[in-house]
Amino acid sequence: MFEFEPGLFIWTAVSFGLLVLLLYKVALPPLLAFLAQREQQIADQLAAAAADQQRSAELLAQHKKELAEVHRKAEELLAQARDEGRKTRDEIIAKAGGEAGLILEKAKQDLAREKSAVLSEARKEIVDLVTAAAGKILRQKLTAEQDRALIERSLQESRG
Amino acid sequence: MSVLEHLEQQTIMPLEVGGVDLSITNGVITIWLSVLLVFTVFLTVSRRLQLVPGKAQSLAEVVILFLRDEVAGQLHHGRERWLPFIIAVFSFILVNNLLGLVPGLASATGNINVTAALAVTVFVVVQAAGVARHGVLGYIGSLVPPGLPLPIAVFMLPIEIVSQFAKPFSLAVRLFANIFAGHAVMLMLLSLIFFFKSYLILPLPVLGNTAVLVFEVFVAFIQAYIFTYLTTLYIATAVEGH
Repeated sequence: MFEFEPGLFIWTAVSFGLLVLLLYKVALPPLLAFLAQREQQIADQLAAAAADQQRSAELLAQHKKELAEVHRKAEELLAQARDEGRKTRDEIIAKAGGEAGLILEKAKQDLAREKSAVLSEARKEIVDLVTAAAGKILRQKLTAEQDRALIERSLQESRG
Repeated sequence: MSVLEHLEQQTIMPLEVGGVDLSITNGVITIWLSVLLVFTVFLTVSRRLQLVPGKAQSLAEVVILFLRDEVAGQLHHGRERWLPFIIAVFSFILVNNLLGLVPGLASATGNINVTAALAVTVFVVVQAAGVARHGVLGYIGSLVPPGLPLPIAVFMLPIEIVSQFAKPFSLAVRLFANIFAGHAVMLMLLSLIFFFKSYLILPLPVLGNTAVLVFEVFVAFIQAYIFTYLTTLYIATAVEGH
């Protein structure tokens, strides 16, 4: 146990050397390659996930920016449409106001013309009536009461 | 008859080659068994690799990744190249330590010849790695820390050379002493039965041996780790210098 035993010493060295050789050449290479491959695979997947996350963040930021731009444009279009609507409404109202004025003016003119015509006609009628009444008066010798009655009758006839 | 004689090698098949006694002893059988066990486990795992590992593969992966990250991490160059050697050192010592606790099997690492053979192997590997990396003169020069004044370097070089031999010596003695001491304590506790020749003493050796056995399992792992860690440290120092 404490003394030198060359047999045990040599067998140990040879056996251990053989084990190292067997592990180096046969047993460990597939296992170590498998572990390295799996670690590389995990590292690649982590890198891909990180890249995807980065890309997602960029896309999200881009989409938010585009959405804000769309909102801004929609607000602009809405405001523009509102302005144009207001403008069109004002134009229509102004145009309608103008046309109403023209129609009113024309109606006034027609009314004045009609009034003038009616007055002229009435004047002519009155003249005719008066002329007729005067003719009757002149043709008959009438009393004052008769004159009044005659005139009133003539007027009533003219109204009738 | 000394109690410790139970730890001595029992010759199973006498063999002499060129005047050298190469008899097959129970210690040699244990060593062969450990080689067969380690090789078979790693070979079996390597032949049945699965993405979702089973129990054996998980165990092998835990050992390999621990050694790669915690032990071989000292090596900044050629870590992958040295990893199989480091795995071999750890597995060989651990399995021999554990087999030594199995009744009927010899405690190989409790024998100074076995630990000395391992230490000498490590010494040769370390020196060869240093020479391969730096060349003979470069390696000798790398033994002293860089930047030292020449008189101090000349003074330190012999000390460093001696320390190169002291390292494997300490490796061999540390492993042997720890494993041997555990077995010696267990034998001492058991011998109390024969010494006192009374059943009344029985609880002490039984409970004591149980406690020591549990502790020896812990020691088996710790000593395998220490031997492997120091071996890797020596290789790293030889390859990468101070």
